[in-house]
Amino acid sequence: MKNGFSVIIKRFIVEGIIEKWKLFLFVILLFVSIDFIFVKNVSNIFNESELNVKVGIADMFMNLFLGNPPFSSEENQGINIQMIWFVFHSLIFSFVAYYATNDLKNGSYIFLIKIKSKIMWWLCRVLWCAVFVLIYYFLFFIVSCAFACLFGSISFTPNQNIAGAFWELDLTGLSNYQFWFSVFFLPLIISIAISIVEVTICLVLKPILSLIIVIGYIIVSEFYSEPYLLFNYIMILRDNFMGIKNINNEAAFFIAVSIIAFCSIIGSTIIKKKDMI
Amino acid sequence: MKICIENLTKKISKNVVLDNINLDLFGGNIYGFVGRNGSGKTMLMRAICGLILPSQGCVKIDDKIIGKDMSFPPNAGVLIEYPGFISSYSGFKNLKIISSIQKKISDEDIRKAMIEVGLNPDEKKNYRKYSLGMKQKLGIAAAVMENPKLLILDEPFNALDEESVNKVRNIILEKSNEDNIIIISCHDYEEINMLCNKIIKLDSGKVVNIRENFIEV
Repeated sequence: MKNGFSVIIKRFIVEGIIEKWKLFLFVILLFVSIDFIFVKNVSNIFNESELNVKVGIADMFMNLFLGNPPFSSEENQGINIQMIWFVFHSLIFSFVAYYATNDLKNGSYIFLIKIKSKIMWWLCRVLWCAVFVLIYYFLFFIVSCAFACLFGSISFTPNQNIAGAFWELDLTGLSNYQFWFSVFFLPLIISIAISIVEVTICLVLKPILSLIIVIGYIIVSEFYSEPYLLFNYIMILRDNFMGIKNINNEAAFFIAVSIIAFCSIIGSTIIKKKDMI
Repeated sequence: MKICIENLTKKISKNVVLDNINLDLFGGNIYGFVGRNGSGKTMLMRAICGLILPSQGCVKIDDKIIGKDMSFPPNAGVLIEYPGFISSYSGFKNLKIISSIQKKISDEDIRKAMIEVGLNPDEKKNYRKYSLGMKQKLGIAAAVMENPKLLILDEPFNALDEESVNKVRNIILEKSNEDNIIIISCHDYEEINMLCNKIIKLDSGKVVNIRENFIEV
């Protein structure tokens, strides 16, 4: 059983990550663009200032996970979707949907029949989602570190001058733990949870429909600030490092973990009755 | 080994692909599934393997129901369409990773299986660069290398040259013994008549004819 698990997860990682290196190259280029534009903007604003402001790793994460304020019809304004936030998340779920059940169509039965367990296939798929999302986030971290080394400072503490000038945010009293929990660990676990939800939906619907549902969920999250729209917790302008409507970020973390566990169990039930073609 | 197929019906998107099939398959036989395209041969093979679950009826292997008592047959080697090998790995590496699941055979056995089908085990070429014939041979090697008790080969002679066809034919005959069940499908009736001692004809998802084929030794 252990052999089967390691073989299947190895296969998923080779086919779904290593062989997809061109997609990751595209992702890296996207991250380079995001960080380059941000670094340039900071440089332009503070160029003539007496303050020696340098962009740190924390600032680049803040730039990515800023999000936008919720939609308010009373203010007679449209909604400004933060495109880099939207593209960052949409790409994850596009990649996940593509490979979710692709291997079943491409003859992976040969492995299934040897491992003799559909549930093992499913659990490997869940694990693959987590690994994929982790590598995706880690790539952004690496690119940010590179930019920080070359053009800024290797700082894991957000810069108040940048936060104030760009986003009118007051970071007084914000601990590093609170910050990194909100801009790394919480977005990571929520992205993993939603990707596993997406793959679970792929067991019953076509991957494209699953992707549409997830993208729809992201777009609704852009409009409304509600604790059940988990993507709100990945927008600093919404949760302000604390939470949404009395549900704090730590609680959101556990909700995401519960979703992962729930989908793993539901998926195990569905896969037993699914045709593996 | 014994396979009992009882009242097996399978519907996919309201289409009946298998229609009330009743069959008993016994060890020691090579069964040939014949029929026109879309007659249900591949679907029946999938149902026996557990890759699809019946809408009605069941498939039993040694009295255990597929999809209920077990997900897949306990000791099977299968080739249905093109298997999903890892495209960046060589043929040998692919077979090695598959054999590492059950750990029944050694590297030498893998090499022997590849040579028997006409592949070079030392070939470093990645699977994605294999020709159709080479892919087919690798699929056959993967199916037979662990000496399974249930061997299912769907159109094994596709894309093979004459020499390879002879090799695969010899492999099928060698693998046949009193415990094993071998099921092959083929559009070449000459091959079916040469290999199979029982021929089952399907049409529109139904078994329309079963006949004994007495093979001259």
